[in-house]
Amino acid sequence: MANGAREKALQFLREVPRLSASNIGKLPGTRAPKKRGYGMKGKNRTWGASARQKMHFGPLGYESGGTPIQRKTAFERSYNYGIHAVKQFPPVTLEQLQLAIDTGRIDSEKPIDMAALCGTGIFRIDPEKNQFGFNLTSDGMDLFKAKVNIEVQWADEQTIAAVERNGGRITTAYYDLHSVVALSDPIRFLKSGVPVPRRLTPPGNLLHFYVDPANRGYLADPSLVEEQREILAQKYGYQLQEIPKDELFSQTKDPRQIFYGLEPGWLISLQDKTIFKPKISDLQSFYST
Amino acid sequence: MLVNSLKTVCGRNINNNIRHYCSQYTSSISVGRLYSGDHPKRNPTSPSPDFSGVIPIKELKTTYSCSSGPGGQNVNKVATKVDIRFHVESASWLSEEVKSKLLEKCGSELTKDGWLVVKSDRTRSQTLNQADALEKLRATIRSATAPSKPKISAEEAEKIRKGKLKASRERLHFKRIRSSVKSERQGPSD
Repeated sequence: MANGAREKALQFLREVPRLSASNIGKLPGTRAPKKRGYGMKGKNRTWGASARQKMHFGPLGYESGGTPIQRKTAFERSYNYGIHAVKQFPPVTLEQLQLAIDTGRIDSEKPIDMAALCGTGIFRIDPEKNQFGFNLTSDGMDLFKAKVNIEVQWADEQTIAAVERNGGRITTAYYDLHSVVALSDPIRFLKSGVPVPRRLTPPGNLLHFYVDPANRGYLADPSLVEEQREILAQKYGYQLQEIPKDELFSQTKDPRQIFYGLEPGWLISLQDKTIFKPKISDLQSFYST
Repeated sequence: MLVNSLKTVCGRNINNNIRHYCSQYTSSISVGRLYSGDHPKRNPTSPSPDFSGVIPIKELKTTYSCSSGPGGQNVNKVATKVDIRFHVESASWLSEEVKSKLLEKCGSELTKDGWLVVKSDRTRSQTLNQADALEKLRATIRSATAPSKPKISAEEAEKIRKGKLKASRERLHFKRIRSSVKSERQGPSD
């Protein structure tokens, strides 16, 4: 019998056009024994007596044959479900900002934005880690003395009070990921030969933050922002200083702008020190909407 | 070196050139286009009609000192305690009505010279303590100027007194019934 089987197998090998691991069966004795089914099998079976009497309960989770609860109920989602989509705003404290200004890493005579902070080399934004900009936190608000025109991506009430108390100006602005890539490393972006993109509007779940004058959002009504400035001055007990109309404080960015002084659609050549602007009307209208 | 290279792009001389070339860019979603600009100033409603909650900060005398309590070197060195005071009688930012109500309510809490003092060392931060002290001050003035509760007339007071007596009579009535039920459950003693 075994010989016949062997002959058959050898004949098969001669005839078959291709061989693969699935064609060739396992050698005798190498196949794993068949597993028994789920339930009360083998020594766990009881006749005329309950499972409890015999202490034969079957496999763990077995509920006398019906669907056990661990199969009935749906699995929970992982607790960090959606973590890939969470936008991160790494913090910069007011103390760190003051130190950077005092040591000359940041020039407070120029407007401070993500590019200025990344340019110091001590604050870094990695768009690959879903980092969308800086969150200016209020740690060190008591010792913050600088008068700045700063634009960050997130700020709380106490931070805003600390900046405005010294006569400065703070704005919270949203940058989509492509804009963040451009602004966090401007030299690299400008060398890449890509025209300056249009900054996108914030997503639905963040729009409420940037439209709120209490957060000094860049899409908020300026007159409401003025009102909120007075309210905050009353709350924290300082004299509200008028924002000066000088060069530093009048520099603002349009919601579609990424860089100060550069419009979307422009192609900048650092080497030739020239700017190429779009001439086609479709492109011009696209970049100005 | 990154800072230096950035300076060549965003430095003062290059910035001048850029400003020379660029116009004032406004997109369709610029703030000037989104909002009309005229916005009537809202007067915030306040619980007390005489006091709006606005306090002129320069009329107050604010001093800072070290807070008490545990905290080691930090609490010893950092002036986080806030002391705000003002002379009530000579306060020009309060109306005469408000002043008289304030003196009536807090007259005994003023200093010998008639200064109202509010202090706070609640938190670790001077900024937050200042906000807390100001809020305390506002609350003091508001409570002084808040409209008083309407006084109950003699008839109403009599009604309330009779109602209370009736309620206590009923309560005792049912309490006695309950008590007898429970004592009847006990068998005869010996």
